[in-house]
Formats: sequence, structure tokens, C-alpha cells
Amino acid sequence: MAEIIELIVRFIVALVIALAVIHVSGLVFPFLLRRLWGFMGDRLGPNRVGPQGIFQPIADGIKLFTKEDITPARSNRWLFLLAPAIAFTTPMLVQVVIPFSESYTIADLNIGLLYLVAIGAFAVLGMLVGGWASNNKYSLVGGLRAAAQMISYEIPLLLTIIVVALLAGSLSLDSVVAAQEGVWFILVQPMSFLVFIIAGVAELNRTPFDLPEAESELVSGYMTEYSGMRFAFFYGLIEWGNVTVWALTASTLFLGGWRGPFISGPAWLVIKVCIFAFLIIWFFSTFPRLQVDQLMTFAWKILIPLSLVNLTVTAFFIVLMPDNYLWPIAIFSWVIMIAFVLLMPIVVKRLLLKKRLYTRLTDYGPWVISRTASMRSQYYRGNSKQTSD
Amino acid sequence: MTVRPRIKTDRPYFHLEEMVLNMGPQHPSMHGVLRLVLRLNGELVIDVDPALGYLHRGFEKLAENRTYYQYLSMLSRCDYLSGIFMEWAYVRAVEDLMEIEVPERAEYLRVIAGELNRIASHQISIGDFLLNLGTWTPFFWTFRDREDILDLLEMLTGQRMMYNYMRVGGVKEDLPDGFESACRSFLRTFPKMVDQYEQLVTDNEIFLTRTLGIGVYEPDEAVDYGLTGPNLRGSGVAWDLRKAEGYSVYPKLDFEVPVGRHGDCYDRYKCRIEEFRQSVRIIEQALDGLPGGPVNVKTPPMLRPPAGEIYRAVESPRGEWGNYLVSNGGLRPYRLKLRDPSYVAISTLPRILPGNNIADVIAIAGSLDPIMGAVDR
Amino acid sequence: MAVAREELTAEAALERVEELAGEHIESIAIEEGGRLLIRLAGKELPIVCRAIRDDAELSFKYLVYVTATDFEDRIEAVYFLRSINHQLTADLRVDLDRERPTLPSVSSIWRTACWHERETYDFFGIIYTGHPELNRILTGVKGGVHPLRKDEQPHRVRRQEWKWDKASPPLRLPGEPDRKTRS
Repeated sequence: MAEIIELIVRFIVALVIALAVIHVSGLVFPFLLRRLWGFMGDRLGPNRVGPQGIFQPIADGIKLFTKEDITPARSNRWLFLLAPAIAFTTPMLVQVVIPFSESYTIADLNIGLLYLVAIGAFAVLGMLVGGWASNNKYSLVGGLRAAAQMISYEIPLLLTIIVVALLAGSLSLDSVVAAQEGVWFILVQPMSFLVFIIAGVAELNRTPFDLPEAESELVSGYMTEYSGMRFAFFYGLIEWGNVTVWALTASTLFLGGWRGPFISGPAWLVIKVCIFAFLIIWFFSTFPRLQVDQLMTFAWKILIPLSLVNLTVTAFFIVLMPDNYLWPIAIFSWVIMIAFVLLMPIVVKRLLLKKRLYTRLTDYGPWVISRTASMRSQYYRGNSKQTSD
Repeated sequence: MTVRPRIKTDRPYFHLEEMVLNMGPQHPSMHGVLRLVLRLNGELVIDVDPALGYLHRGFEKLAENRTYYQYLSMLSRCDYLSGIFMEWAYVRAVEDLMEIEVPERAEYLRVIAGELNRIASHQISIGDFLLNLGTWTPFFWTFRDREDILDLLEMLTGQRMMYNYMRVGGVKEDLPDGFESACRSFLRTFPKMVDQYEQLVTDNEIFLTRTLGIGVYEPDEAVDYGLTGPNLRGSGVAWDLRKAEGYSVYPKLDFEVPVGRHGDCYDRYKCRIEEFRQSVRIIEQALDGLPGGPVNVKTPPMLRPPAGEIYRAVESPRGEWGNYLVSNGGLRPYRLKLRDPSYVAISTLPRILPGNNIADVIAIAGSLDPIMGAVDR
Repeated sequence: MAVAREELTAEAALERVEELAGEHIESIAIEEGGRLLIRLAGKELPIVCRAIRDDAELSFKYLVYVTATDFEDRIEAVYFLRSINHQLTADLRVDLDRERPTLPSVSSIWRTACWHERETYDFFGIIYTGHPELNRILTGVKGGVHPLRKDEQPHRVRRQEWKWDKASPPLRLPGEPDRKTRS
């Protein structure tokens, strides 16, 4: 009986903490985004509600939660209502395996990394369902973009996670943190860290990979039709909850989790999460957006081969010198990362200039307006008949 | 159907169901109320049908029912980002029809106001274009600097956007006190700001992938389509009315006309960036060489140009903005045709967009810099 | 400078036009600013246009605008051309019957003419034969109303009295049925 009560208490505590993490990040990070974004754009940002505007997210939250919740006509009503709930599960469930401190992990699964990947891949479902159920073409395109993008970037993410598992010798996240007692994995495997960051930003649909919700192209992508509370769910809680759990995962895998000098425990984790959130905001303010085909090319032609090579060489060193493999791996990884960072812009520019040369020489066909009769009558506003008057 | 071979569509698995996407008139990056009916195959555009007229106010008809001065105050509402040029072309037409000699000081003031307005217009153009590509900060930076120009123009004309500064035979009034020093301090800081924009985006690999080789106009094609302004010069055709026609006091000023080579989005963007610097040069020289004298000549309150017809154009930020004016000797224009460069730029979209994907539609439309107020008139 | 600017005077251009298409045009003159004013009949338009565009010496490759003016007894169609190489301008004028104005389309000669002709059709009701998609572009008005014709007046303006304006022409053609204004 006591065990059952303990289980229930633990469950409630875990639930409260998980919800708190998501809600706090959903309140704090959008506000930080707006202030920092304003700072970078030489503006003030919201600074009216409370000192320095810190109550702005609360005001926004009240506004959004009291707004009318509109379900578009001819949408798939139940899926439309269900989509935010589906998407909400990912940031909740990922937190199950994250070690928050020395003593607090909700469940230290021995397949923790596998669980992480599986739940992480679940995130696309909410967007796809939401985009499809909205019965809006922008939403549909956004949802499909999300699906294609997240499936593609899942692979390099997975490959880097395998590298971490190899280094730690375990799939449990507690063991991963324990293995980083001496040296953080970011120093051993900077290449994996870089790929994890890039693929993670793509997984989270943040700039420069924010194609599923590209507001200048697709209005708001998969969440165009959402309003009120459901929009708040998608925009605030789920997006930033995902950012937070991704940052938690990245800190756990590469930055020693809750470990840190001077103080130890959740405080360090909070600092690390804030660093990642700042990175996301920085990208958001400064980068243009990639295009769909360029995005796919980047994943399949660059990131996946690179992480495969990285993984192979890491495994090779671990098998070859089981006692002292950290140094060779670190040297290899640093070299490949620096080469990647230095060479990538040069190669990209060369390829682009070549392409430009090609487009210059393309043969342009004769000018033809081909539009079927149905197209003309159906979609042309105004008088379509040529000589009626 | 001409589809550019960027994405191969002849593969058997590529034949998806076609979708018609109605982009605009309410869309974040459609520059007002442009509506494009896109026929899509996946993300690939196969056909475009621009539908115009959502901002049609009948400017040409209204001209026939207003006196010459009544109509002048309307014109800056037409292309609301470069109102000085709207008025300039109109007063040039009226002046040349009435054979009014404009004082030189007035011409210098027109050049100063016009080039300030050109910078302000290009600020919006570049900011919007980069916002279309998905980057936010340059948009705010350009708007921050545009604010300084609008302050200067407010000093000069009394208005931030709808200027009504030109008069037939001169300008409204002389420079206000403190304008010259304010303008010079702006001209000192502004080139640094342009360098900042460039540092932020011009060499960014993502920006380059989005713009290089996208939306290419061959020189012949661009001329055939009647493109003007930076859109034409981006294609490598060195054509600028300020040089070619040499109206106003432009022949006395030393400046260069930036010309691109490849005719893609990047070249058009670079042309606009360079025009910032050239405009700064022009304003500096105009301030240095500002002669004394009156700023306008006395004209009757009711203008009555002799019967005749005339076409006068100015190089507005978007290209050749022209007015074809027919007078029958009455108090009102008998016919006024407004030749708008954005209208021409939009007319190329059915040709240039098929074969690109949705993201490129936004990039190309943004790089052409249409203003729907002037397109629909 | 990508385009070479050779000197070709307006007089030489006039001679060249007469040489190329002398039998197709009605009159040619040099107006102020060196502008060539060419008057011709509608059916000759494509021949003349193609001739002066394709001629290497003239190369009027740039069509600035197409428009028309309603002179109440006739409609005058206007084509304004530019030669970028020589900084020459030319004005083609065609007088049209006001009841049923018809012109051959030049949109196969200059691509930009396509939309200019659509606009002119929309405003004046000139029907361009051979145009690929001649339909309303700006106004979207239905029922044969072409707003820039002189007999179409905005309702509000038609009611107004412009007492100090005596020289302007009447807003309505005499004998034109007066449409009931909306109150």
C-alpha cells in the first residue's frame, strides 16, 4: 500500500514538474524572444506591462485564453481539436528520461536514448494532423513540409545520439551524465554537437529551418487556422516546450547535464537551457529561411554523410583502442568540425556561382500564356469573355 | 507551358494532383493587395494568374474631373512610397506644356527631396524583400533609418509620406532652418548603416542560396517586357532616365548608375543597395552646389495649359514613372495616363514564376518591388 | 555600360522609318524633343511595329506604354516607343472608330504590350484582335462600361456644378442619355 501511495505521489510530482517546465518555458521564452529580438532590431520590444514588461506573457496568455475558439467550417473537427493535444505529448513525455539533478529523474529507463528518439519523432504527428485537419491549403503545405523535414532531420539526429551512446557505453541518460564526469562530450565530439544543434533546430522548425510555419510564405503554416487557446498551445507551449526539452536533451548529451562547476543540479541545467534558447532567438533574428529543396539537400547530402563518417570513425576508435579512445576521437572530431565550418561556405558559394552561370545560359522558350478554359472562367475575377462588350 | 528545368517534372512519380493556391490579396508578403492565383504541383508552380484591381481608385479618371492643382495633391497617394516622384513627373509635364522656366534652386531642392525619397523607398523595398526571405532584423534596421529620412522630409515638406511638395514652376517653400545640418549629419551616418545591412545579409550563404540565379531576366527579355529601374539595370541594361534624358539638374551632378550582370534577385538587391550610396552622393553634391534665388515662379492659381499633349517621365525608385498628359486648353487635364513601372513588373510574373517553388514566388515578387497603389492606380 | 549609345539623329531616324515602312504610314513628323510622331491606319500597325523594332539601326525594342485618348468624335490609340540604343522616342497614333474600336494586337511583338492592351481594353473598350487573353484587368466592371470614355462619368462628379470652369468640355456628350444618378 505504501508503495502504491509513493508511486502516486511520485507521479503527481513528476506531472507537476513536467507541466511547470513547459508552461514556464512557454511564458518566459516568447517574452525573452520578443525583448531580445527587439534589442537586435534596435527596438524596445514589449516593456509596458509591469517592470520591463515582464507581465506581458501573462497578459498575452489571458488574452489568448479568453478568445473565441474557432473551428473552421468544413474542417475535420475532431482531428482539428485533437492536434494540439497530440503535439503536447512530446515535450511532456521526453521529460520522463531527462535527469534534472543527481537525485531526480522521473524514470531512468535503460533504453532512455531510444525512448527519446521515438518520442521526438512523435512531434511531427501533431503538426501533420493539425495541418491536414484545418482544410486550408497553407496549413496542408505546412504540415507536409513539417513531415518531410522532420523525417529527414531525424536521421542525423539519431546518428549523433548513437555516437553519444557509444561514448557513454549505455543507453540510459543517467549513465550518459555519469560518463561526463571527467570531460563533457562537447569537447570529445564537437562535430556531433554541431550536427545535433543543426538537426535539432530543424526538428524544432525554428529559423533558418522554419519552413512549416514560414509566415512570409505560408501565412502561419500548419497553425494558420488555429486561434485562441489552441493557438496559444501551438505557438507558446508546444513550440517552446519542445525547445526546452531539446535544450535539456542537448545539455544532457553534450554539456554534462546537471553537472557544472561551483554549483550542481538543476540551476546549471536552467543556465544551459537558457543558452540554447538564446541561440534559437539569435538565429531567429538574423537568418533568412532556407528553401525546401535546399533543406533536403543539406540533410541528405551533407549532414547524413558527415554524421555517418563521424559515427564510423568513433566506433572504429572505440573498438581499436578500448582503453584510451577519447583523445583520437576528439582530435578527429575537432578536425572534421573545423574543416566543415571553414569549407562549407566556400563550397556553397562555388556551387552557387556555378548554378548562376548555368541559369544565365538557359534557353528561354517563347512566351506563351497557357491557361485552360476552366481555369480562366473559374478563377479569373472580372469579365472573362473577350469580346462580349 | 514553359517550365524552367530547375526541378524535373517529367518523372512518373512526380505527377501529383494539382492544387490551386490563392495567394493574396491578404497575405503577409504580397506587398499590399497583389493576388496571385497559383496552380501548384506539390510546391512547384506551374501557372500563375495575377489578379489586380483591389486598390483601383480610378486615378486617371479622377484627373479629368479636377483642376491641375487639385490633382497634384492626390498623386502622392498613387505610389505611396515615392510620392515626390509622382508629383515631379506631373509638374514636369505641366511645366513643359506651359513652357514655364523653373528656377535652378527649385530644381536642386527637387533633386534633394527626390533622392531622399528614393532612399526611403529602397529602404522599404530591401527590408520587405529580406523579410520575405525570412529574416527580420534588416527589416527593422531599414525602418529605423527610414524614420530619419521621413523626419527630414517632414522638415522639408511638412508631411511624412503624402508630400504635396512640388508646385508647377518650383517647390512649395524654401529649406527650413536647420535642414541642411540635419541632412548632412544623416548623410554622414547613413553609409555606415548601409554597410551594416550588407554585413548582416549580403554574404550570408542562406541569403545567397535564396537569391543567386533565382528569377532571372535576360537583358533582351527585360527590355521586351518594359522593365525599368533597378529591375532592368539588374539585368545589365544601363538605362537610367537621370542619365539618358538628363532632366532637372542631374547632368550637373556626378553619380554612377549601378548595373547588375545576371538579372537575378541578388543583382536587383545589389543595385538597390548601391543606389543608396549613389543617392547619398547626389544629395551631398546638391547641398554643396545649392544656388540662391527664388524657389518657385508665380503661376496663376487656376492653371490653363495650352492645348497639346506631352509625355514626361522621371526615374522613380521603381523605374520610369511617366505621365502622358493631354490638354485641351481647359482648367482640367483632358486625359492623363500614368505609366507605372510596378505594373510592368507584375506583368512579367506569369512568365517568370512557373518552374519555381512557392518560396521563390515570394522572393521574386519581393525583388521586383511592386507597389500595388501604383499598379492598380 | 552594357548598351552602346550611338548617335542617330531624329532626322535620320525619320528617313529610316520612311524607307522601311513609308507606304504603310499616313504621316510622320518630328515633335518637340526629337520625338517621332507617326500616324497610321490600324491594319498597318503590326507591320510597322515589327519593322521598326527589328531594324538594327532603329531598334525600337522598348514599348513604354500603350494607351488611348477619347476625343469624343474618335478614339486615338497611342503607342509610345523608346530606342534605348539611340535615346530616340517614337509615338504611334491610330485613329479609331468610337463605336467599335478594333486594333490588331502587338503583344506578339512586345511582350509588355499584353498587359498594356488589357488595360486599354478595360478603360476604353478597344478590342485587340489576336490578343492571348483580352479581359478586364483593373476595374472588373461588368456590362460594357469602359470608365475612361468621356461619356462615363463618376456619379458624384456628374452632380456637381463646376461654375468657375467654363473652358472645359461638357462632361456628357450632347444627346447622350442621362443616366439616373443614385441619391
